[in-house]
Amino acid sequence: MSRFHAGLRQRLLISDETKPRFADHVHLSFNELRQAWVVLGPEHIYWPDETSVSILQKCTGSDTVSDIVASLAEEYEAPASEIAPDVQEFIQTWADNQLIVEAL
Amino acid sequence: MSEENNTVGLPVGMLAELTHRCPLQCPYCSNPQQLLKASQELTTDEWLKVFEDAADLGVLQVHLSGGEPTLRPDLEAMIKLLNSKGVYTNLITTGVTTDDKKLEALAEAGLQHVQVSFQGVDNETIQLIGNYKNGLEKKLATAKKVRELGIPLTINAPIHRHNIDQVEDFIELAQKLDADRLEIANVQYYGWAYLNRSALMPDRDKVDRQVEIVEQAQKDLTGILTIDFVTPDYYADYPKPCMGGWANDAFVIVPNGEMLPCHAAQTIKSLDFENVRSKSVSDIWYNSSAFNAYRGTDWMQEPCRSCPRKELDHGGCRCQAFAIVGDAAATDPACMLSPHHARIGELAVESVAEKDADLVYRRI
Repeated sequence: MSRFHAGLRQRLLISDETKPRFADHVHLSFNELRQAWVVLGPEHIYWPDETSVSILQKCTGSDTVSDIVASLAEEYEAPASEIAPDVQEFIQTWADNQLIVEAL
Repeated sequence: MSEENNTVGLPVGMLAELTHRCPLQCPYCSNPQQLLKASQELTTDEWLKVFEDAADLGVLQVHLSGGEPTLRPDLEAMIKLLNSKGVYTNLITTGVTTDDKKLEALAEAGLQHVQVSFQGVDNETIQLIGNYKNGLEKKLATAKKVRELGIPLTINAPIHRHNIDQVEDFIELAQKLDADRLEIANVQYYGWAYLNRSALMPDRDKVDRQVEIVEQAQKDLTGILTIDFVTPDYYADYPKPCMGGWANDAFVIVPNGEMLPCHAAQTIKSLDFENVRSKSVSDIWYNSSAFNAYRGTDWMQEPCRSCPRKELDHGGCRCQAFAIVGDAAATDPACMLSPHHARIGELAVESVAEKDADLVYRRI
């Protein structure tokens, strides 16, 4: 049973058709000093690993999750059906942390 | 140039306490009991130099705080400079000093995130805690304007005896204001708050009820409202990983330019601090004796030294160890493995028992 209700906002549930993009004021950049990718957001700093970076770089708002999976499948020479659940789960986690939103 | 200590990592975060001046007088203020006057504050040029040096050293996120940071007329210039260096700026404000025009100027300068404090959800509680009248409308207007400008918003709610029954109301308020985050932050009993512990400490039953509410809300509001829960130390089994380790990846600069490993570090009387007016940010980061005092794990005593959790919580809070045990290198007494753990439980019970203790307001 849930006691608290959504109100103004809705949880974004990631599907194949979702076009994910970074939330406003969340930035992915390459830090020269540390030679590492970094995501800066409200009150937090994230250091995504190589695989995470290649997913995040594709969250531009113009591609759907299916498109992203297809290009990752090509990049990593892995079957799309195999990587799709992991990619979807990854993006869902980032959406739940309010770092990724849906491009409209 | 000083020699760099290669075992020390780069700092990512900086808390800039721009001023100790504040319209509110909260009795748990994290500023020291000896507050600095406006005439002692760093000048605009001094702050800009500090920010430039901090960014060059590796700082990625600056929390602009105080006192009330918007009382500095040069705030826009600071944000502009930090933004141009790719540093993420977070404004920590009472929300009672800014009008729409000021917030628009801050957004224009490149401000990335705003945290507005709410001492309570009604004027009565805000006045009791902040000693400030009719603050609610101003805070609401600030929060609304921040969202109108498309800036992410965090509502900060410091929790104690006088507002622990409002936790559900804080959640509702944060949602109404379209906030991204809510901090339910149980007061940490250092400095002013330690002085006021008898007037602030909530009792155990209310804390347990609060934990239940927050955990339920975190589950129900996943992806809607992020709730950061700072649990009350005095009823804990293990200490907090304070600052993610002493002088590990963050530092604080106070209004007169003293640079500290944490905002409460001046309560540890055995430490000497250095000032950015006479030394560079980088030199202090690597070489200051206060920064090196509790870095890593070599300084630890038992039971921390052989504890499997030592890399997890870094022995807890040095300031709390000093305040309660009298030794800043001791295990944080919030830890149940500390030989002084019983004392923190007694302090909680003694504090709760003093039902009518008066609040001592924070004043210059």
